[in-house]
Amino acid sequence: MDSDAELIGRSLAGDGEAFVEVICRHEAAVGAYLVRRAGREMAEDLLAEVWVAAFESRGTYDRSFPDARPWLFGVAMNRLRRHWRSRPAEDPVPDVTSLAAGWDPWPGVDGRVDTATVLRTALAGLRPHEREVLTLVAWEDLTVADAARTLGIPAGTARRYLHQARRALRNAPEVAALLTDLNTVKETR
Amino acid sequence: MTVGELELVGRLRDVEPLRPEAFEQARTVLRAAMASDRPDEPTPARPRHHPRRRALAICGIVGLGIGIAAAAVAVALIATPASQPAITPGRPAARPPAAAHRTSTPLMRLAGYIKAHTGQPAGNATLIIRTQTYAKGQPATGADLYTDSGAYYWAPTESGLPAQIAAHHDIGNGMFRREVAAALYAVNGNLAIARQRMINAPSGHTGGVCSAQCDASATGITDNYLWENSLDALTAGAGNPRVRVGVLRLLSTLPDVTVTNTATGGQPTLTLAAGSPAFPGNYHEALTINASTGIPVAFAGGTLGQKPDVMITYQVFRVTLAAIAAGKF
Repeated sequence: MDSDAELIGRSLAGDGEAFVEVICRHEAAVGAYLVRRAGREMAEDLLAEVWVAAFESRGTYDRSFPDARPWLFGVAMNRLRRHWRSRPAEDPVPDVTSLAAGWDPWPGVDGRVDTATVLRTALAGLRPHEREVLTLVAWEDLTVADAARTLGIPAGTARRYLHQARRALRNAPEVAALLTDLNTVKETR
Repeated sequence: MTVGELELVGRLRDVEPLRPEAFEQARTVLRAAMASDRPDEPTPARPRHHPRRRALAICGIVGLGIGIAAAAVAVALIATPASQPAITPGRPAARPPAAAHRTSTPLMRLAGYIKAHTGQPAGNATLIIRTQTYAKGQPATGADLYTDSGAYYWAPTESGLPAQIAAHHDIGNGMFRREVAAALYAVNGNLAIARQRMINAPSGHTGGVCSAQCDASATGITDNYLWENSLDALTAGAGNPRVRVGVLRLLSTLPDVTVTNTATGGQPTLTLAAGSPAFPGNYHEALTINASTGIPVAFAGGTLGQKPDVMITYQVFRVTLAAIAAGKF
């Protein structure tokens, strides 16, 4: 099977369907990326913009990387930023506390603690780059090096951001309490 | 195993997936953008990244929306056949078919007929249901709404147009206005000036590709711009007979465009074919219009002697913006 890089090369040589094949490989992942950050409705609106933007910029793709997914996440991230920038003044901020809203990951956890809210609040408290690296690794299954590709930063810098993000979460009292509870529950079973 | 902060955050990852049709729609829009870009296909002389062409293609496709009910508000000007249009792009200019004519006589004759026999239609907008078929891939359709005032709304189907109108989502951003204006000027104006205006329409009347002397020495690039921009005007103004008259008069000035009597879906049609010098190499485009109204019926583009890269059929309706905004199709 051709790599993404090879398909992009074929696309640049005139084989349009080769680029569509790249898209087909990653549409579920990129779609989920958008849903996690903008909600399903907006994600559906943005997905086509992401593909067109990727197609238009494919000439800049570094074909030494066989896997295009981190690059596509980067394109999606830029479209999201542009979307957020263009939102009306009365709705200006991408509310990170609403990330992944509508989904309850904690059906088995003690209902006294709204753990999802705790996590979202903690994520909102991170610096943007720290949050990006953390969520790319935790949600999109990227390596730190691939997250760095997505963000266009050196891998060492991404590693530092991830370390800082994890430390900040651990040091957040509510998250720390949550981790303690979770690990205690596991150990007593 | 101890749960760490990374695993904890990872538990927020599951979300409701996008609907399958959303993926399909996004791919269709991509294909449309790819078609407009034509990165390495036989290259029209027109700049590849022409903003008007790109925007039209991005916004002008997707979904399956044929099925206009042609209710009271919508006057069906012409119905195109669902089957493959009778278009053969790529007739060699050096060997025109026996029934082909140079443009001037038949197009000027049709323009005169439309001008004499067609009044201003009711309504204030043109609705086009467009179906595009690519050499590779599935057919795609979209609903284009061009208002007489120059706004352009698009949706995958006509049922999506009311929301676009309500949101004031005029994605035309001024495109087509100058092309339509140039066509309207050509109805009664000096054709040399009209040519210049149409050729330069994307960038305005001055500073475009065509200076005052361009009419004296038509080149491939000016022919290409005149053809492409005229086709854009014909699309945007398909519901307005005066626009059609102007476009026909303008196209009649292209000496290398051939006109062939054809039949499409049982209706008499004219097929206009453009190749060199408007397009380099063996690339050809063919436009089929109704033989008595000039309304566009179909379009094809591709390499001479091969299956067209893209074929488009048009269903044209004269409508009112208010009716479409109210969802009355």
